[in-house]
Amino acid sequence: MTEQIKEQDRQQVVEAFWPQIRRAAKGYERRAALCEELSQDMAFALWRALNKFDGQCKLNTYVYRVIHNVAVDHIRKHSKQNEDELADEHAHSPDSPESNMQKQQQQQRLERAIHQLPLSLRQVMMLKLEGIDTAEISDVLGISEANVGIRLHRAKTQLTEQLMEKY
Amino acid sequence: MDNQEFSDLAQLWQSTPASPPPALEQCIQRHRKQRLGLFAGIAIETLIMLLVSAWFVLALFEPAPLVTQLWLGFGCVWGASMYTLVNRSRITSLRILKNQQLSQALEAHQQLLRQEIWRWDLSIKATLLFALVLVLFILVQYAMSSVFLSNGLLGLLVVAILLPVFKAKKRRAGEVLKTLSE
Repeated sequence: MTEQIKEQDRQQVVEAFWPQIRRAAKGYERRAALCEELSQDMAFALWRALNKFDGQCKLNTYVYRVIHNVAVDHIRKHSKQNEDELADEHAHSPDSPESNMQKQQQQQRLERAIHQLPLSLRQVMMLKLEGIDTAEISDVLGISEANVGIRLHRAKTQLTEQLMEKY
Repeated sequence: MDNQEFSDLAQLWQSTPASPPPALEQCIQRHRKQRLGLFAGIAIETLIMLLVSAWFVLALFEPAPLVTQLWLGFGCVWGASMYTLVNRSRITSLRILKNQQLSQALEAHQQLLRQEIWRWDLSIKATLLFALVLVLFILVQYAMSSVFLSNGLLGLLVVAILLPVFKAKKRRAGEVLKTLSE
C-alpha cells in the first residue's frame, strides 16, 4: 500500500486517534492550558504528516511516532516553566461528575506517577498502556526490542513505587 | 506489578473522559501566523543589517570623526558576523528538522537544543564584546570632549539588561537538554 491518505480522510483519521492524542498529551504535559495546546499541536502535526504517509509502516505506528515527536518538541519549547507550580491543575476540573470522582482521582494519580518517570521510560510506559506491543513500540521510538524490554521493566518498577507512595 | 495489575492500569489509562474534537482550522491559521512571524523576524534583521551597512558606507564618504567611523565599522562587522553565524546555526537547525527521521526524534531534538545553546552562548560573548567596545568608545569620546554620550550610556544599560536574559535562556535550554537526555 503506497497511496497517500486522501485529503478528506485525514481529518477522520485525526478524529479517530483523538482520544489517544489527548491521553499522550496528558502524559507529557500536566499544565492544563499547555496540555490543551499540545493536544491541538499533535492533531495538527498528524493531519499534516498523514499527507506523507506512504504505507511503509502500520498507520498506528506512524501516528504514534508523529504524536510522540510533537511531544518531545513541546518539551523542548515549554519545559522552561516550573511544572511543580501547576502540578495539580488537572485535579480541579470543574465539570467532574461526582459519581466518577473516585475513578478520576485514580486517573490523576496514575498521570502524576507517569509524570514522575524519566522521559525515556515515560514514552515506553505510555505506549504500553495504550496496548501497543513491544515490537511496535520499538518501531515507534526507533530503539531495539531488547531496549524496550529493559525500559519497560524499569518503568514498571518505578511506576509501582510512585503509585505506592501516593497511597 | 503483575500482568493483571498492569492490565487494570492500562484500562484506567484508556478510560479517560471524551473531549471536544480538535480545532484543526484554528491550528492551520496559527501555523500560518507563526510562519509569517518567522519570515518577518528574518526580514527585520536583514533590514537592520542593510541600514547599519549603508550608514557605515555613508560615514566613510562624509567628513565624520574617525572615532564615529571606527564605531560604525565595528558595529557593521559585529552585526554582520552575528547575522551570519546565527543564521548559519538556524539553517543547521532547519536542516535537522527537515532531515530528521521520525524514529530519531530525541536525538534530533537534542541536536536542536545544542544549536540553541550555541546561539545563546554566541549572543553572550558577542554582547560582552559589544559592551567592551562601547565602553572604549564612550571613554574616547569623553577624553575628546569631556562629555558622556547619553546614547552610549543607554546602550550600556540595554546590554546590562540583555546579558542576564541571554544567560537565563542558555541555562534553561541546558536544563531541557538534560531532561531529554534522561
